[in-house]
Amino acid sequence: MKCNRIEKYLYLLSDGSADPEQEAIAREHLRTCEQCSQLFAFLQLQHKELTHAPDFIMLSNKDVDNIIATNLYSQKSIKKEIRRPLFNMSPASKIAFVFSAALFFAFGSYFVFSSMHWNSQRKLSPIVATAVQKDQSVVTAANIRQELAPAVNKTDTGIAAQKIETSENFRQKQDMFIKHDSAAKSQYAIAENILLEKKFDMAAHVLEYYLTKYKFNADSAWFNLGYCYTMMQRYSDAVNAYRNAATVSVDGSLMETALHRTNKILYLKLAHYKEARKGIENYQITYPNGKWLEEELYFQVKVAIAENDFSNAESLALRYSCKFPKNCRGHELSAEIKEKKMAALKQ
Amino acid sequence: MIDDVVNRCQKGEDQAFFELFHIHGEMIQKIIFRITRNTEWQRDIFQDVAEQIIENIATFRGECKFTTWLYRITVNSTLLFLKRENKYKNMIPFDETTIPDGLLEESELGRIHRKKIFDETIRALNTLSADYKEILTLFYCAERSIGEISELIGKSNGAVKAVLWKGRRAIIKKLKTQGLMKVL
Repeated sequence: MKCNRIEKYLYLLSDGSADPEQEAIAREHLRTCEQCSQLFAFLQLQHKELTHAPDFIMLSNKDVDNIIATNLYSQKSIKKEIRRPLFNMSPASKIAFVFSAALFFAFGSYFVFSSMHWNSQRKLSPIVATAVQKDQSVVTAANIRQELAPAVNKTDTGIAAQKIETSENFRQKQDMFIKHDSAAKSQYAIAENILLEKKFDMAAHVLEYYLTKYKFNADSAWFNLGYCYTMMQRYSDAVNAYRNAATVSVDGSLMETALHRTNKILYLKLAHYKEARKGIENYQITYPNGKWLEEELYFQVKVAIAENDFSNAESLALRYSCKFPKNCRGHELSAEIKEKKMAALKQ
Repeated sequence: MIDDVVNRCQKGEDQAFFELFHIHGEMIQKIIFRITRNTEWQRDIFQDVAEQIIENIATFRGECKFTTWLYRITVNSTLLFLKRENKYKNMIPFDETTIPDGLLEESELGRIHRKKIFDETIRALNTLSADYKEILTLFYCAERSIGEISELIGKSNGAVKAVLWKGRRAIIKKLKTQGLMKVL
């Protein structure tokens, strides 16, 4: 038999779907024809390669949830923008709609002309209202976030996105999303809203996922992650997160606060005095007039006491009380040093 | 035949989408992995698939089984992802020296060549028409039997078989022109 006719049987045979009759013919031919047996060998190899699958790692349920939440959120926001309800209406409801719109317009313009203030103060909450009064054309993101906080406060994680949508100022936020990278933004917004709900473990998870995926806003994401870990009492993770925030950060004040918090956790929670001491020294060098300087100096004294380095502690306490003479904590510190020193001497 | 969950998804219930992906997520991921053999892209492709499903679930009218519809979307978006990202660019170049005798053994070179055969096969598959693509991936990558495929697609067993061997012949032809078959 010719090779052309056998070819089909070879394919079927390599898939394991050939009839016994076809198989017998094909096998018979393969014994004699070298070209076909080469092809058959390749087909077998290809079939084996295609059907054999190495082990793979499934995405965790939380990951899957995150992906879906992100998609649901970003898609809904974009879809709403595109949908035009007026064009899908029946003629009767269209007329009703136009009529009511005309009425609304008439009354609305009356109110607007009679009292300009009424409209803005009635509809908008104080934060946005003040922004409008100051003639700010763009309401800042921070204001909107504050606006959203109460709306999202009591909701479930999965429904957080939905609630934001229904919120009064969603449109403004939505515009911002569409302008920028919507996926990253919305994911970050979800994380922040979960954080506002004080569901720290969930927020930490979302933020971890966010950080593996996006580089946008990475510094504040690390910072928030550090906060979550602190609240979850995973202090060593928190320290790492804050350190990452400080290294990634472009924003000076965020970096400063991150460094400060690192030191704080190191001293107060982890009792790693050596690292804390180094951190505090670093902080003082980089931010000689920093906003956390008072607390940092205080901690420095405390760390020195904890390390039983009393002479150093005394000089540091003196420096503290010179720099912040109005603060009563200076006296407390010197008293504490005296006490500890006496106790050490007795021992 | 529309499930309750699908129905709720179509009405726009968020919770239903989570349930849907908990039920079918594993299957979707398996198909993705079978086609790509790469865990790095798994998340990205899964995201693409999820996006497609959420966007298009309203257009599903129960003309076929829901799982069939899912298969189609998964397979198509995975292949599209590979095409779009041009993922094969950085693959190991195939040199036309003869493959050593120990091709079927677990030697390193043999492994590379077999990977190459797999990649090139998937790439050739990607250039076929939609029908062929779907049935071939269902058979090889999703490990459906011919009977199951004929039920899913709504074609007879014979038709599915014919598509399978013709599709493979087309792939072999493409590989031959690329010189991949020369070594044999």
